[in-house]
Amino acid sequence: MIRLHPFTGLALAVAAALLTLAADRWWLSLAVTTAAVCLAVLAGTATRLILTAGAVLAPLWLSQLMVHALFDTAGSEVLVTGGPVRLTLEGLTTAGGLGLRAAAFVSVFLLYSLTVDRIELVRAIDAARVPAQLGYIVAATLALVPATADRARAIEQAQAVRGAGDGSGAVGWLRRKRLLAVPLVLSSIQDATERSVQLQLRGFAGGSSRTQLHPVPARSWEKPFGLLVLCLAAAAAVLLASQGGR
Amino acid sequence: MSTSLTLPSNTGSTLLRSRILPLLGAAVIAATYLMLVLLQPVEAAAGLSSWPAVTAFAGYLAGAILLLVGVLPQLPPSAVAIIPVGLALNIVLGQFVGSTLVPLYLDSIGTVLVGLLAGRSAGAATGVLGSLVWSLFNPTVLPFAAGAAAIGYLAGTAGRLGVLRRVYWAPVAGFLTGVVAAVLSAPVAAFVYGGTSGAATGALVAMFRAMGDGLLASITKQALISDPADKALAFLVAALLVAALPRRIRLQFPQVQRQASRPGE
Repeated sequence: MIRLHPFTGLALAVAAALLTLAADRWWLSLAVTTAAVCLAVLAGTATRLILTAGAVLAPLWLSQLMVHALFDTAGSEVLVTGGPVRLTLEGLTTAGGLGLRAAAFVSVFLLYSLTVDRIELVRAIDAARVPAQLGYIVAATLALVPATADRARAIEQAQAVRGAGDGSGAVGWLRRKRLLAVPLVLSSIQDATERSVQLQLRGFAGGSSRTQLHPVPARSWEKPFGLLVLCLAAAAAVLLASQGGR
Repeated sequence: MSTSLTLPSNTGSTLLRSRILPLLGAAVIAATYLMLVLLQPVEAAAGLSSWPAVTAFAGYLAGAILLLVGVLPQLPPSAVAIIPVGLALNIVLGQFVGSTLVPLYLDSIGTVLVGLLAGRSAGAATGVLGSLVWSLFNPTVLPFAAGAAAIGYLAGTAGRLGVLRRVYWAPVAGFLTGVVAAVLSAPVAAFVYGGTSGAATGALVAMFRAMGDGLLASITKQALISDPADKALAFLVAALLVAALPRRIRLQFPQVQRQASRPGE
């Protein structure tokens, strides 16, 4: 697969999501989702894409099914009825269309997230004309999320070893969460205050004026291509949305 | 603590940008909301039209990014250092609760914590950045950036009004913040996704729909049930966590320094 600059990939993902939202055609949503899965197969991340997208989409699809199809009062072609349940064909069509649209939206952004080199993304942000703090915050967060999750597991194990947090029911659950949250937050903030001293001493001298040892490679056509894709997607979205989308 | 000796001094244009861009961002968010509510489409039997989805997605996201670009350069290093911690807490706690059958989110404790400690600008920036960074793990949160910014900004306002000195006011501030967040976020849930992100919240919306309400009205009512309770809990937890911090750590943050300098601390 061609290795794109992080911003080119982002422009493609935003354009695909915007077009799918604006067009609101089930076949386009299905095509975009299928294309994302095929690209994930080529990149070797198909399993992760499908599992992550499934975890994100399952509650959303259930919600869309309940909101539009299961208790539909407007549709005329009733498929199942019983008690408050009134499943209609129109409701199922709407829920299916919205579900596919959400699937396209989620799969293109997840494909980008799973295939982008996060270190390159941070370096690209650092070199771009955006506030230097943005690069630091994105880099620190991407490093802190797994570190915080690891720290939470270590605290839970330590509390279990010392026999704290026993008890069942809601009270026991709350007690366990308190014994986890307090040391987790306190230690994280302690670390942050220590880092802030370093930041205060050095300031934020990011931006294009600073030379990077390994700049993120970008082909000459990528920047104009990314801008063109975004402009075309925005124009198409305005056109499609003004026509009603359906 | 002394300010950095290496940071460039603020010029007139920098100050102008730091004032104008956040105001412009807030105006875009308000205009998007008003447009969606005033011109909301009539639901056809076959579903919704697509312009509200594009408007909600692009308008809220553009407004939130303008807000971020204006606010970020003026934040002190102590605020910049605490923002990633807030974001990590949002993600770690939010992903856990989001997968349960409880109609709460608890995905904003980190944002509230940063707002209480570092002020309104830092809180708003944490809200927007939280949505942007979390979207790498869960893309559905991306269009909710404007609502998250409002939560952070209002948490900072609550901190400025003295919630950290009187913790019992924290749930009240959280409740009011939840009402604002519910009203702002409902159009995104309604028009971009046509539903909510959880099964329990979806059941509440379905109940209101079965009672004859429209989609936006149903989701707004559901959000007005879930969000105030969720934010009241988040504010209370965040305020208690701040109270548990050692004083020497608390005093490193500008908002707490201001509170400590007032009589009565």
